[in-house]
This record gives sequence, C-alpha cells and structure tokens, in this order.
Amino acid sequence: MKKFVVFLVIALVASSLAWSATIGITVNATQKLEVTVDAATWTIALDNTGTAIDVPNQGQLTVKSSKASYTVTFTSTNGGTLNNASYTMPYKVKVDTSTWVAGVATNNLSSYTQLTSAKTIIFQLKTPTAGKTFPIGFNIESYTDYFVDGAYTDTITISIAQS
Amino acid sequence: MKKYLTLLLLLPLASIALYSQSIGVTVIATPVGANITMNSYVWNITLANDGVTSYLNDQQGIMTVKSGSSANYRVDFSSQNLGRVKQGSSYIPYYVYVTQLTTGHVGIIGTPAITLGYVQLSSTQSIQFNKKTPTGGIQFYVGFQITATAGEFFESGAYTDNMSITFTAL
Repeated sequence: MKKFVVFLVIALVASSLAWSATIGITVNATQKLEVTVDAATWTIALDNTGTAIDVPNQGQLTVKSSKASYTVTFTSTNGGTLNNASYTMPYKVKVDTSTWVAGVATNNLSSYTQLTSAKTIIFQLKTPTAGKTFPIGFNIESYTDYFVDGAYTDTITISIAQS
Repeated sequence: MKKYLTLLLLLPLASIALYSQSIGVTVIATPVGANITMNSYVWNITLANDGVTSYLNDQQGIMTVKSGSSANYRVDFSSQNLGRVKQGSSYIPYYVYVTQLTTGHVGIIGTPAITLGYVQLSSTQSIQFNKKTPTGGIQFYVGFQITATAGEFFESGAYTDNMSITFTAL
C-alpha cells in the first residue's frame, strides 16, 4: 500500500494590490455678460440761448461680467447727432470709470466724445455679481446759431461682448 | 555486534523512504473580483454662477466596492488638482461626501471624515474596511458640492478635474 504524503503549501499573495477608478469632472460656470441703464429715455430741454449743456450724471450704466476680458461698445444711430428731419444737433457723451481704475484697460469715452463711430471701453476684470455702475455724461457744446425749434432725437446702443 | 544493531535501526527508515512519495502543491489565492466601479465616470455639472446659488448633489455618483477575498482593505479618494476644478489659472474648490447606500454593517473602521460630511480633497481621504464584501459588492453615494462665493462671479467657462478612487488590499 502506497502512502502519499501531500504537502499543501498555500501561499497567499499578500503584496499590495490596487485598483482604481477615475472620474472626469467638468463644471461649466455659466457666463454672465450684461449692460443696463437706469433709464431707457433721456429728455433734455435746450433753451436755445447758446449756453452749453453739460450733465455729468445724465444716466447710469451698470456692467456685469463673469469674464475678465470684455468690451462695452457705444454706437449712435445718427453718428453722434440728434436729428429733427433734416436738421441736426451734435452731442457728446462720456463714461466716468475712474472709480474702477483696476478693472478698465482702455476707456475711449473717458472725456466727452461724439459717437461719429463706435467707441469702446475695454475691461480687464470680472465684476462683482451686483455689477459695476458708472455715470454717463451728456454734452452739447455752446453754440452761436439758434437751432430750429422742435424735437431732436437719436438712439444710443450700448453692447457688451467677450474680448 | 555494533554493526548489526546499526543495520537494524536503518532498515525501518529505508522502508519508509521506499514507499513514500511527495507532491508539492501550491495554491495561490488571488483577491478575485476586487474592484471599484462607478455608475458614471464623467460628471458634467452646470453652475449657476450668480454669486448666490451653490451646487449640491448628495447622489452625484454611485460607487460600488468589491473586495474579493480581501477582508482588510482601504479605499482612497484623491484629486488631480487637490480638490479644485481648474480652468487655466482659475480654480473653483469642490467638496465630496460619501454616504452608505448598502444597508447594515459593511466593515468601515472608525468614522472617516469623508463619511461625516463634505470635505475637500486637498489631501487624500480614506475609508478603511475590515470585512470583505458580498460578491455583488457594497454601494455608496458620492456627493458633490460647490459653494457660491457671495457677490462674486467665478470666471465663466469649463473647469475640469480628475478624481481618483483607489482600492488597496491591506
């Protein structure tokens, strides 16, 4: 009778074994780009005496942006003049951004400027969620000739875009 | 006389040697089936980005852990960007929270911070176990949170990170 001696050697592989899973996370932070004004219409009385009109706080512009680089653009339907049929009255506007020097790279409306072409303000910092508010000034220079009486109108369009 | 006695003693030993054979058997018990799986490996999250609304989802993902034959093991959570999603040079911190979906005692040792509430993966967060799982594994919810910064926008755009969950047999 044969005898079998069986040696069982049980080896546990106890070395460090690791498995992993990787999750790709993408968070999309919603973009906010917005410009608003406190009043959509400005009605200004001109006394036709030749005296200049200068209203540094004619309106308030509020800018909101979640991007650091963006541009606000001002354009005029009539190229910077108020029109009454064929009669025209040139005017100028400015935007005072001096309260936020760090956030503004270039302000092409820092002083009174006629909107003969589009004028821009280039920003370099995102705003707080409440936005940044700047005064808009309105100017008609002094004049020596009467303007033909009547209502003169124009439309200023203010837009914002990511730079 | 001395030689005779010696011969008698050696005979039984020779007899054993003659009728015995040995077979060496090695059984390697591998930790079969040990792994970590998620119900989704891609998380796309939309952040309101209004300076008010935070993002919170306690059930952002479901993690399944199978330990195979390993009773003692550890699950580590780590982040490529140390608990922040990244866009260029901008970061948004995020927080994760692990809650047990499988009922009953699953062998968690102690009370790991990541099971107590939302934590940022600025360093590795671990859960250690001392009980092997059923063959179907044990499941956990993985929650995800981003806290709004009052009055501030995050720079808008797509932020990314890779979060790794690693199983280590101990």
